Amino acid sequence: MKMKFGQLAGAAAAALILGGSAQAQHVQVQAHDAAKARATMEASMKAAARGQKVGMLTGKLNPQPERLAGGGVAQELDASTMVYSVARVNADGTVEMVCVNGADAAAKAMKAPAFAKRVSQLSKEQTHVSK
Amino acid sequence: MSASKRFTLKALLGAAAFAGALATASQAQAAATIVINNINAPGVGFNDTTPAVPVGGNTGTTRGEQRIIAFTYAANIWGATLTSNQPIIINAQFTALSCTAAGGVLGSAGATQIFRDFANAPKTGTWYSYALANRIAGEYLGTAAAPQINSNFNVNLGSPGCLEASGWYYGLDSNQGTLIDFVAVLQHEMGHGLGFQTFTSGSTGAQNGGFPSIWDHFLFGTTAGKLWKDMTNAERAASAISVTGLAWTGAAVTSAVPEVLRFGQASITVSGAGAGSAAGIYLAGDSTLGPAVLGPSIIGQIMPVVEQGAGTGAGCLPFSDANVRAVNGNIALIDRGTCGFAIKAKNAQNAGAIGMILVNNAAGILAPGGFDGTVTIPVLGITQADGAILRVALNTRSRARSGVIGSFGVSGTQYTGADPLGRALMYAPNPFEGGSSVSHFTNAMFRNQLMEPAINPDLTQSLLPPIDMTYRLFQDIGWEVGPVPPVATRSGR
Repeated sequence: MKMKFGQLAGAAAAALILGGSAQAQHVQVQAHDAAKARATMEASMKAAARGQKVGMLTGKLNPQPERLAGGGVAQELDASTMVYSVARVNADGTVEMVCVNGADAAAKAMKAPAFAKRVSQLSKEQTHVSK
Repeated sequence: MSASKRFTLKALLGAAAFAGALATASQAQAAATIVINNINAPGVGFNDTTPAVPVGGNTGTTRGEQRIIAFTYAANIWGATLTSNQPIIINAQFTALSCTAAGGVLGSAGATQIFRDFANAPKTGTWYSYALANRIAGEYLGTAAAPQINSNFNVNLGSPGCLEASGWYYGLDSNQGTLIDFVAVLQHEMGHGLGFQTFTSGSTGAQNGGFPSIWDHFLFGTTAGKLWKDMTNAERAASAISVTGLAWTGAAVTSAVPEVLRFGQASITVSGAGAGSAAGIYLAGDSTLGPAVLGPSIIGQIMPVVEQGAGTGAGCLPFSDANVRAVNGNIALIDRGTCGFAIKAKNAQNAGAIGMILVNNAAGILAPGGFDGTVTIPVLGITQADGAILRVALNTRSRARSGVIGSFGVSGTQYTGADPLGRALMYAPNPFEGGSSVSHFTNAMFRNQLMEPAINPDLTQSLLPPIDMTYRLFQDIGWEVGPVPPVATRSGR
């Protein structure tokens, strides 16, 4: 049976309502230790920009693997391992977005002449551009 | 294709997306609680009290409320899909990030810790991201209630000097237009934070502390014929730039490939009395404009669009009477150049064209990008050389007839974005692209996937087949290993 536009719109509205009710089920919002967390994150990101490794949780320089009392090993990560989303406006006004790892890669992506989306498809090179 | 058929196709796509969203919401009674820890200062970011108009299902009336609602919406999609008895805590803030008028950092996110050899770990001596390790262990590893993911988003986006015309779209309906869909960016970044990432260096091949990541048990280099965990550093580094030589061997993803990826590549079959030696099948590039070509699509005469004044660019201006007469009811053939593809597509559509072929002005098959939600005709791109062949056949046309028939469809012998054995390919461009390489699906996939390196405008919000394979990869790395362990009370350390 074909769905009519009105049915689709209704379904979409229902999806939003479902989403709203489900949100209460799966997500909580809090503001725990906000100032401290903000300072630690900022320190880690600034250090990563300088090429230093500062832990994203503790703020320790060059965090080392730690053994857990219950067994296992933990390795705290620094901000250099974060993944960045970068956007760039093309000459025709369209926006392209790409995901890269680390502040350095993000800076390079911003300065690139264009996000020529290199597509290797069935061994044929493609450019996925907007103009 | 008639207007009614076009609508039916769009309706089907919309219905599929809706079904995917429902499937996401009910993923095997999945449930994980995601805790958004708002670390913004009062009045900033999530706490910004600047009035805002509700948009796209987001009922917030301040900028801060809308940000919280959109974040909650995206997190809820993940929470309804994943299963864990441990809360997944995400530190989140809006803050100033690098930005100019022409480009900027939208956001950053990542796991705060990785773990190996913890209780119940399926693979010994192997790193798992924080949230996944907690899920498998059934307890909160490390410091109780420590954030598992850190995330930052650009507070200045859309302000003067920072992508001013391309601010955040906080609606929940993927109707972002020329703005940037906050929900889509969040979904993607959260995917990385939750485990869509190897902690082994793709550029050097070095493992973190000499131990493989769980990803390395599934990454397979077809040249060396080995899994990443069994390779030398040099072999891994070579595999990371092997273009089509890095496959994912996990059973869940592989089984989803036929359901999600298109079998064959977009193509244009040329025939008809006027075709002559131009008759044949031409491989084509997919466009982000108009409806996707998933199988047999439009059929009609191919007619070229001529430039309306030197330097104006073919198809860049509203069509003249002559061009309207040529393309009305036909497929418009337009050269690349001067203006955006979206402009050309809209002008062709307004002139009555039923489809558009864009001819590249450089090497390679053209995959036309851009966004315009009002474009409803299918668009494909071809090589410059193929365009020249077609033009020879079109030289003998009349004003409204060419006798050169084009038929949009698909052809080929493998899934688009998979290797010949049907295994999903990972992103392995040459040269290596810092961070984008390896920890994403290949961007050759069709349909587009959430975890490709580029966040494409045609994404829906689903994480599951038949739309998306992200959660299937999560199943491979352990998000569904065994029953969810009961809540443990002991501390990890």
